This record gives sequence, C-alpha cells and structure tokens, in this order.
Amino acid sequence: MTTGSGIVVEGVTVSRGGLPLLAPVDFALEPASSLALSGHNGAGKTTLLRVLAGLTPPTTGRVLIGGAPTNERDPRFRARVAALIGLPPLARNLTLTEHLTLIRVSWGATTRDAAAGARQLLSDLRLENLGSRFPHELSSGQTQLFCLAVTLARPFEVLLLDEPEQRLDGDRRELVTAMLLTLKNDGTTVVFASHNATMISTLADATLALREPVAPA
Amino acid sequence: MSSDRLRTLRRAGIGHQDGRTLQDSAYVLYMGVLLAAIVGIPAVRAATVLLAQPAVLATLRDPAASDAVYLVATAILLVAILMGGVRGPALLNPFLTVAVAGNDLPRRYSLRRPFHLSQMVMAAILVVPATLLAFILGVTGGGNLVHCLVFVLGSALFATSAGVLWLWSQQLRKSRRALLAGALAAVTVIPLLFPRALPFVPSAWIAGLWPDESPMSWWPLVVVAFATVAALAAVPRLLDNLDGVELLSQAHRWQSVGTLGYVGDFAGAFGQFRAKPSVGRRWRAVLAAPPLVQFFVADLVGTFRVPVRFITGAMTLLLAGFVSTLGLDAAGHPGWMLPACGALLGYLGLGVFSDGFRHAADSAHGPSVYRYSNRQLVAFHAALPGVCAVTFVGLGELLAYLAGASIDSPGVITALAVFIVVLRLYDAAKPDLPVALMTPVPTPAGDASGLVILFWQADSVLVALGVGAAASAVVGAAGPPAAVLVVLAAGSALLLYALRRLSAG
Repeated sequence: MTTGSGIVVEGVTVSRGGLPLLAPVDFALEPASSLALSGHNGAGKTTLLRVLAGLTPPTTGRVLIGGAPTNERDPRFRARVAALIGLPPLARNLTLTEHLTLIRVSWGATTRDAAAGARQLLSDLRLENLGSRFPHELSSGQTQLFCLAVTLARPFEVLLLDEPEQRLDGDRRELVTAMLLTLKNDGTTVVFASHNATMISTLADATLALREPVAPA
Repeated sequence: MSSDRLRTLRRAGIGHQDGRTLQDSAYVLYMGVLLAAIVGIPAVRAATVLLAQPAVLATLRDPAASDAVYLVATAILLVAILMGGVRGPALLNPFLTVAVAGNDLPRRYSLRRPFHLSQMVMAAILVVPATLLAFILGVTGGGNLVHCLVFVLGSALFATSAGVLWLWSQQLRKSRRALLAGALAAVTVIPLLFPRALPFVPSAWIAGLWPDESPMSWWPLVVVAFATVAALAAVPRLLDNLDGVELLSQAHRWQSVGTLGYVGDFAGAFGQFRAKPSVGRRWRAVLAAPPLVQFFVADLVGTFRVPVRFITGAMTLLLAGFVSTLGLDAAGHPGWMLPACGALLGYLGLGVFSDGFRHAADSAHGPSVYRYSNRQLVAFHAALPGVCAVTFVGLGELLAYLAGASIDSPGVITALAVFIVVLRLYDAAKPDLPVALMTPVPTPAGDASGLVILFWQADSVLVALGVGAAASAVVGAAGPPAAVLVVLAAGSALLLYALRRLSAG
C-alpha cells in the first residue's frame, strides 16, 4: 500500500525555438486517482508526461507533485515518481530477473527479497518463464511487458506511463489494465497516455483531451 | 546505510554488468602487461633519453619554460571544462544510471565511486609526465631535488582540482559551460596586461612551482593545496546537482561509442559527437532555384544551424591552408610534415561541410527519394564543400602570406583543397567493413585483426597524410606544376572509385 501524491498543473506550456510542443494545460489530480491523457499524435501527451517526470522543464506554468515542484535532481522526487516514457535503458548482459533484482536492490531491498520480488513481478506479468532470457531475446510485446516490469520494480507514489498498451495483445492489455487498477486502488496516483478506449474507460477517473498546439503565424 | 545498499548492489550485479568472465579479466591483465612491456617502458625510456639531451635540458631549465607550463595548465583546465559536456567524470552505463543514479540515494553516494575512478585516471595522466620531467630535471639536470618533489606534489594537487572542475562542468548547462570556459580563457590573458594579477590565476600556481633555475617559492603550493581542499569539499554538492537527463544522455552516447569502437566503426563512433542543430529552425533552407543552388543553400543553412561546428570547421580549414603554405615555403626543413598535417586538417575540417555527401551516399543505398540520379546528387552536394574548401584554405594561405611566408605554389594549395573534397566523397561512399577483415590474425600478443580494421578505417587519414607529404616532396623535386598533377591524379583515382561505388548502390 503506497500513499499517493496529488498532482497540480497550472498553465503549463512547452515550446522549443518558438515552436509550441504543448498547448496550455491545467489540471489537479487527487492522490490515488488516475488521469488518462488523450489526443492526436503530436498533441503533446509525451511532452506533458516528460514535464511531470521532471525530464523536460515547462516553458511557462508550474507543476507540483506531492506539493513540491518537479526536480529530477531531488532524491525525494525521484523516490516519488516512476515513469515509463519510451524504452528504458536495458543492460544487454543481464537477464530479466537480474535487471529487476538489481533495481529492487538499488531501492534498498536485500538481494534475497529483491530476487523474490523480481520473480513475483515477472509472474504477475506472465513473464515467469522468461526470467533467464536477455532483453534481445524477447518479442516486441514481451519487451513492452518487461519495460513495464522495469518501471514497476521500484517503489513509487506517482506512476507516469506513455501508452502502456503498445504492442500488447488483448489478454495482456487486460492484464496490464487490471494491474494498474490494483496499483491505483492501493494508493498510487496514475497518469497515462493512451489510444485504447477500453483501458481509458476501465482505469481512468478522468480524461484530459490535449489539443494540438498551434504554431504562431 | 547507503554504503550498505551500494555494496549489496555491487554484489548483486554491477560486477557482472559487462558480462566479463574471469578469463576475460585475465586476458585484459595479460594485454596490459604486454602493452606496458612492449610499448609503455620503451616509450618512457625514449622520452627520458630525449629529455636528457643537453639542448632539451637547457630549454627545460630556462625561466621561460614556466610560461609553457602556464599555457599547458590553462589548456588542461579548458579541456576539463569542455570534457564535462561530452563525458563527465561521474558516469555509469545507461542501465546503472537509471537503476543506481536514478534511485532515491543522493548522487553524492551513488556516483562517488565512478567520479573518484575518473579523477584517479586524470591524476595519473597528468602526474606521470610531471614526475618524468621532475625526475629528469632533478637527477640529470642537476636541479634542486626538493623543488622537483614539490612540483610533483603540486601537479597531483592541480590534477585533483582539475578533476573537480571537470565535475563542475558536467553539471553545468551548455551556455554556462561556455561562459566558464570563456571566463577561464579571459582570466589567463589578464596577467599579460596586469602582471600583478598573476597569483590569482590557477595556471600560475602550477607554473610557479616549475623547478627551473629560479629560487623556489612556497606560496603556489600553499594556494594550490587550499584550492584543492576547497574543491574536494564541493564534490558532494556537485554530485547531488548532476542532472539525470544529461547523465543518461552521456551514458547512452558513450555506450554507443564503445560498441562502435569495438567493432571498428570509428566513423560511427565519431558521429556520436556530431552536434545536433539548435538554431535557425525558421531559416529558409529550400529556395526556388536551379537544383545546384538549391542543394548548396540547403547544405549551407544546415551547417549554419550548428554554429559552433561551422566555426570549428572553418577555422580548421583556415589552419590547414596556413600550415600547408608554411610547409611548402620551408626549404631545407622537414617541410613535408606541414603539408601532410595541412591535408589531414583539411580532411577533418571539411567533414563539417560534407554532410551532403553522406546524405547522397545513403540515398544511393536505399529506395529512390529524389528525382535526380546518384551522380547528380553527388554533384549538387559537392558545391558546398567545394566552395568552403577553396575559400577557407585560400584564406589560410593569405594569412600565411601576411605572416611572412612566400606563396610560390598557390596552384598546389588549391589542388590540395580540391583533393580533400574528393577524399570526403570517397569517405562517404566507402562500403561497410568487409567481414573478411574480421578474420582473427593470431600473434603472440593476441589477435591482430584489430590493426587490420584500424588501417581500413583510417585509410582516408593515411591518404590525406600521404598526398600532402607527396605534394611537398614533388614541389621540391620537380616544381609546383608536377605537384599539382600528382595531387589531381590521386584525386581523379579516388573520384572514379567513389562514383563507381555510388553507381553500384
């Protein structure tokens, strides 16, 4: 059971070289609730997730997570927020179980507990038979599930996911949706971008439809 | 607590990160011992013999030698600052960057180990030559032994401070890093105008310890020691302040460089450092004009969008023209070395303006995108490198003339400028590394196939050096027109090869 953190986004925009990447966004999200980001390609879903993760500074506005500004350099912020935005870096020479074990150990688990937790997570995602494989030996759908596992292996209060349903078949989409729902019910605040209507309707307490940023004439 | 976690983490996986077995480690050790025995010891011995020559010793003992130390120390500090943006001292591989430096441990703990390792490597690189010089001066040169030892100690402290400067630069933004480098360069120049400012310049501290014939003063050692203590005290805060996005970006880049370097793809490895466009997003790159002008303008605007790269390329071409002109002017000297270096500099500098050639080569190997044939594309993309090579190399030639060199062979310099354009095209058209070259070549020192690959990868560099040197030799032996013919003949051969490669797709 985690204690989720609320998120406040006020007047956030992102632009680069005068070109807008994210139109103004405002929202407030209670702890232990979930928000779906929808919108066409290029609407700024990934950009907004990167802003929330502290990876991209907003051009205007501010973001508070758990009452504190986003700051990737702050260990407390890093402890609070987990994110899957694009492919996370994977080590070619570590097996799936070793990856997850290493991540859990880095967050303070003993090696034995971390290994057990890693096996459990792989099992939850129906990857238990692949624990001794290397990342390059996975199919694209298995890679997506493993990337989720890498993100979920660590503790967090806020979970940011960019199209977690990518490349997954129907069964696995349901599995992931159910897993995220459990996390939310356990107290995690979830923000996810998705193009899947079922996932949005099942998981999201609210939906934010992003409109495409308009370049100045 | 955090140290326990890091220790557990290391036991859990960091040691196996690169998949190295005990045999691999033993082989690395074996290679290290062989390299030290075959290359390291003879190199140190040769350097010692060279430095112990009376003429060299006299130069080292000359009071003016400390000026050279001042400049070298400044260069070291500038390199430390610039390196921070390319490869900081506190760096892990991408996975560990996320798993270790991305967790809730303050980075003062999680990145302390890689930082200290980098700092030790840097200190070793700086202290070894300092010790060698001090040894030569102290033992062979009859210098003051205490003075020599103090210089070695001061070098170690200076290297430690430079390591912290490297870390400081790693956590700075690009603009602030440039500002820091500019400030250091400015501070270095100030004592030329106001000599009383010398004690406040870091480079002067180590220069003040140089064991020449002047009496030893202790103040530089005290100052550099204080500076080092202050710098080390700042390390934890600097480590905490490292940006995770930049850490991951550097980690990815260096992993790619390592992979590409391992398989011998040096062009790909260098490509990792190619700056990305940052300005001029709204500049008009495509004009309504004949295709040659269209491609010239598009390529030119593309290079302008990476201003630092453009300036670096232009300056390097300028230097190439300057150096080549000086070399062709230097009668009775080993003058051939200068045109060889000039051709090499020209080849390196022109890389900035040759992205179009790479694009044409890529287009030749894929489905047709443009309406033009491969040869037409090459011709269009040749406009920018051609104009830039002739212009900037010519300006370098003019500068050499203004500096006092005589211009007896302007045709040779122009021919060399045209030649490096063709060499760039040849380089872009080069096929992938043939698999046959990766066949093991067993020798007592291990597999020498790496050397074969190295020669294959560095062929353009070797050709540039060879043609530059040959041009100089032919100017001396048969006159400038013959040298022009030699350069153009070499260029024609390369051009034919490159066009045939591109036509083959």
